[in-house]
Amino acid sequence: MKKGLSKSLIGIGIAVLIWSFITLATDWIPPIFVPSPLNIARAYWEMRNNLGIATLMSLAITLSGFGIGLIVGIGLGLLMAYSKNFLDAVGPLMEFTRPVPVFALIPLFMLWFGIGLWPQILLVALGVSAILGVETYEAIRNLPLVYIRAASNLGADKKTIFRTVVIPYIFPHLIGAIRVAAAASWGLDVAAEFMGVQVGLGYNMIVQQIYLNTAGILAIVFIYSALAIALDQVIRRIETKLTFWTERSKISFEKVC
Amino acid sequence: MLQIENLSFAYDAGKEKYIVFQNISFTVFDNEFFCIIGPSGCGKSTLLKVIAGFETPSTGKVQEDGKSINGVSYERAIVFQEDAVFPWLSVEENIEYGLKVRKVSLDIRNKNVKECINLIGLKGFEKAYPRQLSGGMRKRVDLGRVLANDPRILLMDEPFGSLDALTKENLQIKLIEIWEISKKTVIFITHDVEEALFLGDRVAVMHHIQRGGAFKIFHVPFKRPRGLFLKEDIEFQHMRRNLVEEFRIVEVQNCSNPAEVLPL
Repeated sequence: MKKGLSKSLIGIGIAVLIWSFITLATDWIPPIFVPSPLNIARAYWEMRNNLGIATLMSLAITLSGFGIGLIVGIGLGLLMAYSKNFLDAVGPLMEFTRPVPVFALIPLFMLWFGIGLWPQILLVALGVSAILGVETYEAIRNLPLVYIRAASNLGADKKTIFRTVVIPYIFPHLIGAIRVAAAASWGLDVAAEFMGVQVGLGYNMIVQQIYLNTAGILAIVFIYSALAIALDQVIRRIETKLTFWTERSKISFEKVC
Repeated sequence: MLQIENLSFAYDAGKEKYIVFQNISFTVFDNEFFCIIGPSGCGKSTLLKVIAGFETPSTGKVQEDGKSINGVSYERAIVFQEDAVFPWLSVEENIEYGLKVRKVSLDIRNKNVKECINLIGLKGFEKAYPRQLSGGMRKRVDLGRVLANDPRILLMDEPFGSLDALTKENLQIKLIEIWEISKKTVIFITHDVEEALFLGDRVAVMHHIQRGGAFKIFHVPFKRPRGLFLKEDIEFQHMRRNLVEEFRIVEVQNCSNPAEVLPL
Protein backbone atom coordinates (compact mmCIF):
# COMPACT_ATOMS: atom_id res chain seq x y z
CA MET A 1 0.00 0.00 0.00
CA LYS A 2 2.76 2.43 1.06
CA LYS A 3 4.77 1.38 -1.96
CA GLY A 4 1.82 2.06 -4.28
CA LEU A 5 1.36 5.52 -2.76
CA SER A 6 5.00 6.53 -3.23
CA LYS A 7 4.84 5.27 -6.82
CA SER A 8 1.84 7.47 -7.58
CA LEU A 9 3.55 10.46 -5.91
CA ILE A 10 6.55 9.94 -8.19
CA GLY A 11 4.17 9.85 -11.18
CA ILE A 12 2.49 13.10 -10.18
CA GLY A 13 5.86 14.73 -9.37
CA ILE A 14 7.24 13.93 -12.82
CA ALA A 15 4.13 15.35 -14.51
CA VAL A 16 4.40 18.58 -12.49
CA LEU A 17 8.11 18.87 -13.32
CA ILE A 18 7.50 18.50 -17.06
CA TRP A 19 4.63 20.98 -16.87
CA SER A 20 6.76 23.54 -14.95
CA PHE A 21 9.66 23.12 -17.34
CA ILE A 22 7.56 23.65 -20.46
CA THR A 23 5.62 26.63 -19.11
CA LEU A 24 8.40 28.39 -17.18
CA ALA A 25 11.63 27.61 -19.06
CA THR A 26 10.37 27.60 -22.63
CA ASP A 27 7.92 29.66 -24.63
CA TRP A 28 6.56 26.74 -26.68
CA ILE A 29 3.02 27.25 -25.46
CA PRO A 30 1.50 30.69 -24.68
CA PRO A 31 0.23 30.99 -21.07
CA ILE A 32 -3.28 31.71 -22.35
CA PHE A 33 -3.49 28.04 -23.45
CA VAL A 34 -1.48 26.39 -20.69
CA PRO A 35 -0.60 28.62 -17.72
CA SER A 36 2.34 27.81 -15.48
CA PRO A 37 2.03 26.58 -11.89
CA LEU A 38 2.96 30.10 -10.79
CA ASN A 39 0.07 31.60 -12.77
CA ILE A 40 -2.27 29.18 -11.06
CA ALA A 41 -0.95 30.03 -7.61
CA ARG A 42 -1.55 33.68 -8.44
CA ALA A 43 -5.08 32.87 -9.60
CA TYR A 44 -5.81 31.17 -6.25
CA TRP A 45 -4.56 34.30 -4.48
CA GLU A 46 -6.75 36.56 -6.59
CA MET A 47 -9.85 34.46 -5.99
CA ARG A 48 -9.15 33.93 -2.28
CA ASN A 49 -12.26 35.81 -1.16
CA ASN A 50 -14.65 33.76 -3.28
CA LEU A 51 -13.22 30.29 -3.32
CA GLY A 52 -14.07 29.18 0.23
CA ILE A 53 -17.78 29.84 -0.02
CA ALA A 54 -17.88 28.69 -3.64
CA THR A 55 -16.30 25.35 -2.73
CA LEU A 56 -18.76 24.88 0.14
CA MET A 57 -21.73 25.64 -2.12
CA SER A 58 -20.60 23.23 -4.83
CA LEU A 59 -19.89 20.58 -2.23
CA ALA A 60 -23.37 21.06 -0.75
CA ILE A 61 -25.10 20.85 -4.16
CA THR A 62 -23.14 17.80 -5.27
CA LEU A 63 -23.35 15.86 -2.03
CA SER A 64 -27.07 16.47 -1.50
CA GLY A 65 -27.81 15.65 -5.15
CA PHE A 66 -25.64 12.53 -4.95
CA GLY A 67 -27.24 11.45 -1.68
CA ILE A 68 -30.79 11.93 -2.92
CA GLY A 69 -29.97 10.25 -6.23
CA LEU A 70 -28.37 7.30 -4.42
CA ILE A 71 -31.42 6.69 -2.26
CA VAL A 72 -33.98 7.23 -5.05
CA GLY A 73 -31.99 5.18 -7.60
CA ILE A 74 -31.38 2.19 -5.33
CA GLY A 75 -34.95 2.45 -4.07
CA LEU A 76 -36.34 2.36 -7.61
CA GLY A 77 -34.13 -0.61 -8.52
CA LEU A 78 -35.27 -2.52 -5.44
CA LEU A 79 -38.93 -1.73 -6.13
CA MET A 80 -38.64 -2.88 -9.74
CA ALA A 81 -37.23 -6.19 -8.55
CA TYR A 82 -39.70 -6.49 -5.67
CA SER A 83 -42.93 -5.84 -7.53
CA LYS A 84 -43.72 -7.08 -11.01
CA ASN A 85 -46.59 -4.56 -11.18
CA PHE A 86 -44.22 -1.69 -10.44
CA LEU A 87 -41.77 -2.94 -13.04
CA ASP A 88 -44.49 -3.22 -15.69
CA ALA A 89 -45.80 0.26 -14.88
CA VAL A 90 -42.53 2.15 -14.49
CA GLY A 91 -40.02 0.06 -16.48
CA PRO A 92 -41.04 1.19 -20.00
CA LEU A 93 -41.30 4.80 -18.83
CA MET A 94 -37.76 4.62 -17.47
CA GLU A 95 -36.49 2.92 -20.62
CA PHE A 96 -38.01 5.75 -22.61
CA THR A 97 -36.56 8.59 -20.54
CA ARG A 98 -33.17 7.10 -19.66
CA PRO A 99 -31.43 7.79 -22.98
CA VAL A 100 -32.30 11.50 -22.74
CA PRO A 101 -29.09 13.25 -21.63
CA VAL A 102 -29.64 14.94 -18.30
CA PHE A 103 -27.83 18.02 -19.60
CA ALA A 104 -30.52 18.44 -22.24
CA LEU A 105 -33.00 19.01 -19.43
CA ILE A 106 -31.20 22.08 -18.09
CA PRO A 107 -33.35 24.63 -19.99
CA LEU A 108 -36.52 22.80 -18.93
CA PHE A 109 -35.38 22.73 -15.32
CA MET A 110 -34.75 26.48 -15.43
CA LEU A 111 -38.24 26.95 -16.83
CA TRP A 112 -39.94 24.68 -14.31
CA PHE A 113 -38.01 25.31 -11.12
CA GLY A 114 -36.45 28.70 -11.76
CA ILE A 115 -32.94 29.66 -10.80
CA GLY A 116 -31.94 28.44 -7.40
CA LEU A 117 -30.27 25.66 -5.48
CA TRP A 118 -33.05 23.09 -5.74
CA PRO A 119 -33.14 22.69 -9.52
CA GLN A 120 -29.38 22.14 -9.42
CA ILE A 121 -29.61 19.54 -6.67
CA LEU A 122 -32.45 17.86 -8.56
CA LEU A 123 -30.39 17.72 -11.74
CA VAL A 124 -27.51 15.97 -9.95
CA ALA A 125 -29.98 13.63 -8.21
CA LEU A 126 -31.65 12.76 -11.51
CA GLY A 127 -28.37 11.85 -13.18
CA VAL A 128 -27.22 9.74 -10.22
CA SER A 129 -30.53 7.91 -9.81
CA ALA A 130 -30.68 7.06 -13.52
CA ILE A 131 -27.35 5.25 -13.21
CA LEU A 132 -28.17 3.50 -9.95
CA GLY A 133 -31.73 2.45 -10.76
CA VAL A 134 -30.57 0.32 -13.68
CA GLU A 135 -27.48 -1.00 -11.89
CA THR A 136 -29.44 -2.02 -8.79
CA TYR A 137 -32.03 -3.88 -10.83
CA GLU A 138 -29.32 -5.69 -12.81
CA ALA A 139 -27.39 -6.58 -9.65
CA ILE A 140 -30.51 -8.18 -8.19
CA ARG A 141 -31.05 -10.19 -11.35
CA ASN A 142 -27.59 -11.73 -10.81
CA LEU A 143 -28.51 -12.94 -7.33
CA PRO A 144 -28.18 -16.77 -7.31
CA LEU A 145 -31.63 -18.38 -6.99
CA VAL A 146 -30.29 -20.81 -4.38
CA TYR A 147 -29.93 -17.98 -1.82
CA ILE A 148 -33.55 -16.93 -2.26
CA ARG A 149 -34.74 -20.53 -2.09
CA ALA A 150 -32.65 -21.26 0.99
CA ALA A 151 -33.95 -18.15 2.77
CA SER A 152 -37.54 -18.91 1.89
CA ASN A 153 -37.13 -22.54 2.97
CA LEU A 154 -35.72 -21.39 6.33
CA GLY A 155 -38.90 -19.41 6.95
CA ALA A 156 -38.26 -15.92 5.55
CA ASP A 157 -41.05 -14.06 3.74
CA LYS A 158 -40.50 -11.82 0.69
CA LYS A 159 -39.87 -8.65 2.67
CA THR A 160 -37.40 -10.39 4.96
CA ILE A 161 -35.60 -11.90 1.98
CA PHE A 162 -35.14 -8.41 0.53
CA ARG A 163 -33.83 -7.06 3.80
CA THR A 164 -31.57 -9.97 4.75
CA VAL A 165 -30.47 -11.44 1.41
CA VAL A 166 -30.97 -9.06 -1.53
CA ILE A 167 -29.56 -5.89 0.04
CA PRO A 168 -26.41 -7.41 1.55
CA TYR A 169 -25.79 -9.39 -1.65
CA ILE A 170 -26.08 -6.49 -4.11
CA PHE A 171 -23.96 -3.98 -2.20
CA PRO A 172 -20.52 -5.15 -3.40
CA HIS A 173 -21.93 -5.38 -6.93
CA LEU A 174 -23.10 -1.76 -6.74
CA ILE A 175 -19.83 -0.23 -5.61
CA GLY A 176 -18.60 0.26 -9.18
CA ALA A 177 -21.81 2.03 -10.16
CA ILE A 178 -21.76 4.17 -7.01
CA ARG A 179 -18.23 5.33 -7.81
CA VAL A 180 -19.17 6.10 -11.41
CA ALA A 181 -22.22 8.02 -10.20
CA ALA A 182 -20.12 9.96 -7.67
CA ALA A 183 -17.69 11.01 -10.39
CA ALA A 184 -20.58 11.92 -12.70
CA SER A 185 -22.23 14.01 -10.01
CA TRP A 186 -19.32 16.51 -10.11
CA GLY A 187 -19.80 16.93 -13.83
CA LEU A 188 -23.52 17.33 -13.28
CA ASP A 189 -22.80 19.98 -10.66
CA VAL A 190 -20.67 21.99 -13.08
CA ALA A 191 -23.40 21.80 -15.72
CA ALA A 192 -26.04 22.67 -13.15
CA GLU A 193 -24.12 25.73 -12.02
CA PHE A 194 -23.98 26.94 -15.60
CA MET A 195 -27.75 27.26 -15.15
CA GLY A 196 -27.05 30.42 -13.29
CA VAL A 197 -26.93 30.47 -9.54
CA GLN A 198 -24.31 33.06 -8.66
CA VAL A 199 -22.50 30.88 -6.16
CA GLY A 200 -20.35 27.83 -6.43
CA LEU A 201 -17.25 26.74 -8.31
CA GLY A 202 -18.98 26.22 -11.66
CA TYR A 203 -20.26 29.79 -11.62
CA ASN A 204 -16.77 31.08 -10.80
CA MET A 205 -15.45 29.08 -13.72
CA ILE A 206 -17.77 30.98 -16.05
CA VAL A 207 -16.58 34.27 -14.59
CA GLN A 208 -12.95 33.29 -15.23
CA GLN A 209 -13.89 32.22 -18.74
CA ILE A 210 -15.42 35.64 -19.44
CA TYR A 211 -12.13 37.29 -18.48
CA LEU A 212 -10.23 34.71 -20.54
CA ASN A 213 -8.33 33.78 -17.38
CA THR A 214 -7.13 30.26 -18.20
CA ALA A 215 -5.18 30.04 -14.95
CA GLY A 216 -8.37 30.74 -12.99
CA ILE A 217 -10.29 28.05 -14.85
CA LEU A 218 -7.55 25.48 -14.28
CA ALA A 219 -7.30 26.48 -10.62
CA ILE A 220 -10.98 25.61 -10.18
CA VAL A 221 -10.60 22.39 -12.18
CA PHE A 222 -7.96 21.31 -9.66
CA ILE A 223 -10.34 21.97 -6.78
CA TYR A 224 -12.98 19.81 -8.48
CA SER A 225 -10.39 17.03 -8.94
CA ALA A 226 -9.40 17.16 -5.31
CA LEU A 227 -13.04 17.05 -4.17
CA ALA A 228 -13.82 14.14 -6.52
CA ILE A 229 -10.80 12.17 -5.31
CA ALA A 230 -11.76 12.82 -1.69
CA LEU A 231 -15.35 11.60 -2.24
CA ASP A 232 -14.06 8.51 -4.06
CA GLN A 233 -11.75 7.75 -1.14
CA VAL A 234 -14.63 8.03 1.32
CA ILE A 235 -16.68 5.59 -0.77
CA ARG A 236 -13.77 3.14 -0.93
CA ARG A 237 -13.33 3.31 2.84
CA ILE A 238 -17.00 2.47 3.31
CA GLU A 239 -16.68 -0.28 0.71
CA THR A 240 -13.89 -2.12 2.52
CA LYS A 241 -15.92 -1.98 5.72
CA LEU A 242 -19.08 -3.37 4.12
CA THR A 243 -17.66 -5.92 1.71
CA PHE A 244 -15.16 -7.66 3.96
CA TRP A 245 -17.05 -10.93 3.42
CA THR A 246 -16.32 -11.16 -0.31
CA GLU A 247 -13.24 -12.73 -1.86
CA ARG A 248 -12.85 -9.91 -4.35
CA SER A 249 -11.45 -7.28 -2.00
CA LYS A 250 -8.17 -9.17 -1.99
CA ILE A 251 -7.74 -9.82 -5.69
CA SER A 252 -4.42 -8.72 -7.11
CA PHE A 253 -3.51 -9.94 -10.56
CA GLU A 254 0.16 -9.84 -9.79
CA LYS A 255 -0.45 -12.55 -7.23
CA VAL A 256 -3.00 -14.52 -9.26
CA CYS A 257 -1.23 -14.71 -12.60
CA MET B 1 -45.26 -40.19 7.37
CA LEU B 2 -44.76 -38.68 3.95
CA GLN B 3 -46.93 -40.02 1.15
CA ILE B 4 -46.21 -39.33 -2.47
CA GLU B 5 -49.15 -40.28 -4.66
CA ASN B 6 -49.17 -40.48 -8.45
CA LEU B 7 -46.83 -37.55 -8.68
CA SER B 8 -46.06 -36.22 -12.18
CA PHE B 9 -44.17 -33.17 -13.28
CA ALA B 10 -44.14 -31.64 -16.76
CA TYR B 11 -43.27 -28.26 -18.14
CA ASP B 12 -44.08 -26.51 -21.38
CA ALA B 13 -41.24 -26.42 -23.87
CA GLY B 14 -42.65 -24.37 -26.71
CA LYS B 15 -45.79 -26.10 -27.93
CA GLU B 16 -44.87 -29.49 -26.51
CA LYS B 17 -45.03 -30.68 -22.96
CA TYR B 18 -41.82 -32.09 -21.59
CA ILE B 19 -42.48 -34.75 -18.97
CA VAL B 20 -39.82 -34.95 -16.25
CA PHE B 21 -41.35 -37.83 -14.27
CA GLN B 22 -44.71 -39.52 -14.21
CA ASN B 23 -46.94 -41.38 -11.72
CA ILE B 24 -44.43 -41.86 -8.95
CA SER B 25 -45.85 -43.19 -5.68
CA PHE B 26 -44.02 -44.09 -2.49
CA THR B 27 -44.23 -43.63 1.25
CA VAL B 28 -41.44 -42.50 3.54
CA PHE B 29 -41.97 -43.48 7.18
CA ASP B 30 -41.20 -41.33 10.19
CA ASN B 31 -37.53 -41.35 11.18
CA GLU B 32 -36.64 -43.26 8.05
CA PHE B 33 -33.52 -42.59 6.01
CA PHE B 34 -34.73 -42.86 2.42
CA CYS B 35 -32.25 -42.61 -0.45
CA ILE B 36 -33.00 -42.03 -4.12
CA ILE B 37 -30.43 -42.80 -6.80
CA GLY B 38 -30.77 -42.37 -10.53
CA PRO B 39 -28.93 -41.17 -13.61
CA SER B 40 -28.59 -37.45 -14.13
CA GLY B 41 -31.60 -35.96 -15.85
CA CYS B 42 -34.01 -38.56 -14.47
CA GLY B 43 -35.80 -35.86 -12.49
CA LYS B 44 -34.72 -36.77 -8.95
CA SER B 45 -33.79 -33.18 -8.11
CA THR B 46 -37.11 -31.93 -9.48
CA LEU B 47 -38.90 -34.58 -7.41
CA LEU B 48 -37.21 -33.20 -4.30
CA LYS B 49 -38.11 -29.62 -5.24
CA VAL B 50 -41.76 -30.66 -5.59
CA ILE B 51 -41.65 -32.31 -2.16
CA ALA B 52 -40.02 -29.17 -0.73
CA GLY B 53 -42.83 -27.08 -2.24
CA PHE B 54 -40.73 -25.03 -4.68
CA GLU B 55 -42.53 -26.55 -7.67
CA THR B 56 -46.17 -27.49 -8.08
CA PRO B 57 -46.74 -31.01 -9.46
CA SER B 58 -48.71 -31.43 -12.68
CA THR B 59 -50.70 -34.28 -11.17
CA GLY B 60 -50.76 -36.14 -7.88
CA LYS B 61 -50.05 -34.90 -4.41
CA VAL B 62 -47.57 -34.91 -1.56
CA GLN B 63 -49.14 -35.60 1.82
CA GLU B 64 -47.69 -35.25 5.26
CA ASP B 65 -49.64 -37.39 7.77
CA GLY B 66 -52.67 -37.30 5.47
CA LYS B 67 -52.57 -33.54 4.85
CA SER B 68 -51.52 -32.11 1.49
CA ILE B 69 -48.46 -29.89 1.66
CA ASN B 70 -48.94 -26.24 0.86
CA GLY B 71 -45.92 -24.33 -0.40
CA VAL B 72 -42.50 -24.08 1.16
CA SER B 73 -42.08 -24.70 4.87
CA TYR B 74 -39.15 -24.84 7.28
CA GLU B 75 -40.63 -28.16 8.44
CA ARG B 76 -39.41 -29.66 5.16
CA ALA B 77 -35.88 -28.33 5.15
CA ILE B 78 -33.74 -28.68 2.05
CA VAL B 79 -29.95 -28.90 1.80
CA PHE B 80 -28.88 -27.96 -1.70
CA GLN B 81 -26.03 -29.35 -3.74
CA GLU B 82 -24.78 -25.82 -4.38
CA ASP B 83 -23.15 -23.74 -1.72
CA ALA B 84 -26.17 -21.99 -0.18
CA VAL B 85 -24.49 -20.62 2.95
CA PHE B 86 -24.85 -16.82 3.04
CA PRO B 87 -21.32 -15.45 2.60
CA TRP B 88 -22.18 -12.13 4.26
CA LEU B 89 -23.11 -13.78 7.57
CA SER B 90 -20.77 -15.49 10.03
CA VAL B 91 -21.15 -19.20 10.88
CA GLU B 92 -23.16 -18.30 13.96
CA GLU B 93 -25.39 -15.83 12.11
CA ASN B 94 -26.01 -18.33 9.32
CA ILE B 95 -27.15 -20.97 11.79
CA GLU B 96 -29.29 -18.44 13.62
CA TYR B 97 -30.91 -17.17 10.38
CA GLY B 98 -33.97 -19.45 10.29
CA LEU B 99 -34.74 -18.93 13.99
CA LYS B 100 -34.34 -15.16 13.64
CA VAL B 101 -36.62 -14.74 10.63
CA ARG B 102 -39.22 -16.94 12.31
CA LYS B 103 -38.98 -14.62 15.35
CA VAL B 104 -38.10 -17.36 17.81
CA SER B 105 -37.31 -15.96 21.27
CA LEU B 106 -33.71 -15.04 22.01
CA ASP B 107 -33.25 -17.68 24.75
CA ILE B 108 -34.24 -20.57 22.52
CA ARG B 109 -32.27 -19.06 19.66
CA ASN B 110 -29.04 -18.92 21.63
CA LYS B 111 -29.55 -22.41 23.00
CA ASN B 112 -30.32 -23.95 19.58
CA VAL B 113 -27.42 -22.21 17.87
CA LYS B 114 -24.99 -23.45 20.50
CA GLU B 115 -26.31 -27.00 20.29
CA CYS B 116 -26.17 -26.97 16.50
CA ILE B 117 -22.61 -25.71 16.40
CA ASN B 118 -21.58 -28.50 18.74
CA LEU B 119 -23.55 -31.03 16.72
CA ILE B 120 -21.86 -30.15 13.42
CA GLY B 121 -18.47 -29.93 15.13
CA LEU B 122 -17.64 -26.32 14.34
CA LYS B 123 -16.99 -25.11 17.86
CA GLY B 124 -14.44 -22.29 17.78
CA PHE B 125 -15.54 -21.20 14.30
CA GLU B 126 -18.67 -19.30 15.40
CA LYS B 127 -17.34 -15.91 14.29
CA ALA B 128 -15.69 -17.13 11.08
CA TYR B 129 -17.05 -16.13 7.67
CA PRO B 130 -17.81 -18.70 4.96
CA ARG B 131 -14.91 -17.57 2.75
CA GLN B 132 -12.55 -18.61 5.54
CA LEU B 133 -13.96 -22.17 5.63
CA SER B 134 -13.31 -25.23 3.46
CA GLY B 135 -16.04 -26.72 1.26
CA GLY B 136 -16.73 -29.49 3.78
CA MET B 137 -17.04 -27.02 6.65
CA ARG B 138 -19.44 -24.86 4.63
CA LYS B 139 -21.59 -27.93 4.01
CA ARG B 140 -21.67 -28.50 7.77
CA VAL B 141 -22.83 -24.91 8.28
CA ASP B 142 -25.53 -25.54 5.68
CA LEU B 143 -26.65 -28.64 7.56
CA GLY B 144 -26.49 -26.87 10.92
CA ARG B 145 -28.55 -23.99 9.56
CA VAL B 146 -31.49 -26.23 8.66
CA LEU B 147 -31.14 -28.34 11.81
CA ALA B 148 -31.39 -25.24 14.02
CA ASN B 149 -34.96 -24.84 12.78
CA ASP B 150 -35.69 -28.39 14.04
CA PRO B 151 -37.52 -29.49 10.87
CA ARG B 152 -39.50 -32.72 10.71
CA ILE B 153 -38.21 -33.75 7.31
CA LEU B 154 -34.74 -33.25 5.89
CA LEU B 155 -34.51 -33.13 2.09
CA MET B 156 -30.97 -33.49 0.81
CA ASP B 157 -30.20 -32.90 -2.86
CA GLU B 158 -26.79 -34.49 -3.55
CA PRO B 159 -25.38 -32.47 -0.68
CA PHE B 160 -21.93 -34.06 -0.78
CA GLY B 161 -21.72 -34.25 -4.57
CA SER B 162 -19.02 -31.62 -4.96
CA LEU B 163 -16.77 -32.76 -2.10
CA ASP B 164 -13.63 -34.91 -2.21
CA ALA B 165 -13.86 -38.58 -1.18
CA LEU B 166 -12.36 -38.16 2.28
CA THR B 167 -14.45 -35.14 3.28
CA LYS B 168 -17.50 -36.92 1.90
CA GLU B 169 -16.89 -39.98 4.09
CA ASN B 170 -16.40 -37.79 7.16
CA LEU B 171 -19.64 -35.98 6.49
CA GLN B 172 -21.51 -39.24 5.89
CA ILE B 173 -20.47 -40.42 9.35
CA LYS B 174 -21.36 -37.03 10.83
CA LEU B 175 -24.77 -37.12 9.13
CA ILE B 176 -25.55 -40.62 10.47
CA GLU B 177 -24.47 -39.47 13.93
CA ILE B 178 -26.72 -36.42 13.76
CA TRP B 179 -29.60 -38.44 12.33
CA GLU B 180 -29.32 -41.01 15.11
CA ILE B 181 -29.50 -38.28 17.75
CA SER B 182 -32.24 -36.17 16.21
CA LYS B 183 -34.20 -38.96 14.46
CA LYS B 184 -35.53 -37.02 11.54
CA THR B 185 -37.14 -38.29 8.38
CA VAL B 186 -34.56 -37.93 5.63
CA ILE B 187 -34.90 -38.09 1.85
CA PHE B 188 -31.40 -38.17 0.44
CA ILE B 189 -30.65 -37.88 -3.26
CA THR B 190 -27.33 -39.05 -4.64
CA HIS B 191 -25.77 -40.73 -7.65
CA ASP B 192 -23.26 -42.51 -5.47
CA VAL B 193 -24.56 -46.07 -4.96
CA GLU B 194 -22.20 -46.78 -2.07
CA GLU B 195 -23.30 -43.61 -0.29
CA ALA B 196 -26.97 -44.54 -0.66
CA LEU B 197 -26.39 -48.05 0.70
CA PHE B 198 -24.24 -46.84 3.57
CA LEU B 199 -26.73 -44.22 4.72
CA GLY B 200 -30.19 -45.49 3.80
CA ASP B 201 -32.81 -47.72 5.32
CA ARG B 202 -34.25 -48.08 1.84
CA VAL B 203 -32.86 -47.12 -1.54
CA ALA B 204 -35.02 -46.20 -4.52
CA VAL B 205 -33.67 -46.38 -8.06
CA MET B 206 -35.36 -43.84 -10.27
CA HIS B 207 -35.44 -44.54 -13.98
CA HIS B 208 -35.50 -41.98 -16.75
CA ILE B 209 -39.03 -41.20 -17.94
CA GLN B 210 -38.16 -41.94 -21.58
CA ARG B 211 -37.26 -45.47 -20.49
CA GLY B 212 -40.45 -46.13 -18.59
CA GLY B 213 -39.71 -44.03 -15.52
CA ALA B 214 -39.91 -46.97 -13.11
CA PHE B 215 -39.28 -46.33 -9.43
CA LYS B 216 -37.89 -49.46 -7.73
CA ILE B 217 -37.40 -49.56 -3.99
CA PHE B 218 -34.84 -51.82 -2.29
CA HIS B 219 -34.59 -52.59 1.39
CA VAL B 220 -31.15 -52.19 2.97
CA PRO B 221 -30.68 -54.99 5.54
CA PHE B 222 -27.61 -53.71 7.43
CA LYS B 223 -27.95 -53.12 11.16
CA ARG B 224 -27.24 -49.82 12.85
CA PRO B 225 -25.10 -48.25 14.15
CA ARG B 226 -23.11 -48.50 10.95
CA GLY B 227 -19.42 -47.70 10.78
CA LEU B 228 -17.06 -47.30 7.87
CA PHE B 229 -16.07 -50.99 8.18
CA LEU B 230 -19.47 -51.83 6.72
CA LYS B 231 -18.22 -50.66 3.32
CA GLU B 232 -15.70 -53.57 3.38
CA ASP B 233 -18.40 -56.14 4.20
CA ILE B 234 -18.90 -58.84 1.55
CA GLU B 235 -22.66 -58.59 1.71
CA PHE B 236 -22.45 -54.82 1.35
CA GLN B 237 -20.20 -55.22 -1.69
CA HIS B 238 -22.60 -57.76 -3.13
CA MET B 239 -25.57 -55.49 -2.70
CA ARG B 240 -23.66 -52.56 -4.09
CA ARG B 241 -22.87 -54.61 -7.19
CA ASN B 242 -26.54 -55.50 -7.60
CA LEU B 243 -27.61 -51.90 -7.29
CA VAL B 244 -24.94 -50.79 -9.73
CA GLU B 245 -26.35 -53.36 -12.16
CA GLU B 246 -29.79 -51.92 -11.62
CA PHE B 247 -28.36 -48.44 -12.16
CA ARG B 248 -26.53 -49.67 -15.28
CA ILE B 249 -29.71 -50.99 -16.84
CA VAL B 250 -31.00 -47.48 -16.58
CA GLU B 251 -27.78 -46.06 -18.03
CA VAL B 252 -27.76 -48.56 -20.92
CA GLN B 253 -31.35 -47.77 -21.71
CA ASN B 254 -30.49 -44.10 -21.74
CA CYS B 255 -27.69 -44.58 -24.20
CA SER B 256 -28.51 -44.12 -27.85
CA ASN B 257 -26.02 -46.84 -28.70
CA PRO B 258 -25.96 -49.50 -25.96
CA ALA B 259 -22.83 -51.10 -27.39
CA GLU B 260 -20.85 -48.08 -26.19
CA VAL B 261 -21.24 -49.24 -22.61
CA LEU B 262 -18.36 -51.49 -21.71
CA PRO B 263 -19.06 -54.78 -19.92
CA LEU B 264 -18.36 -54.77 -16.21
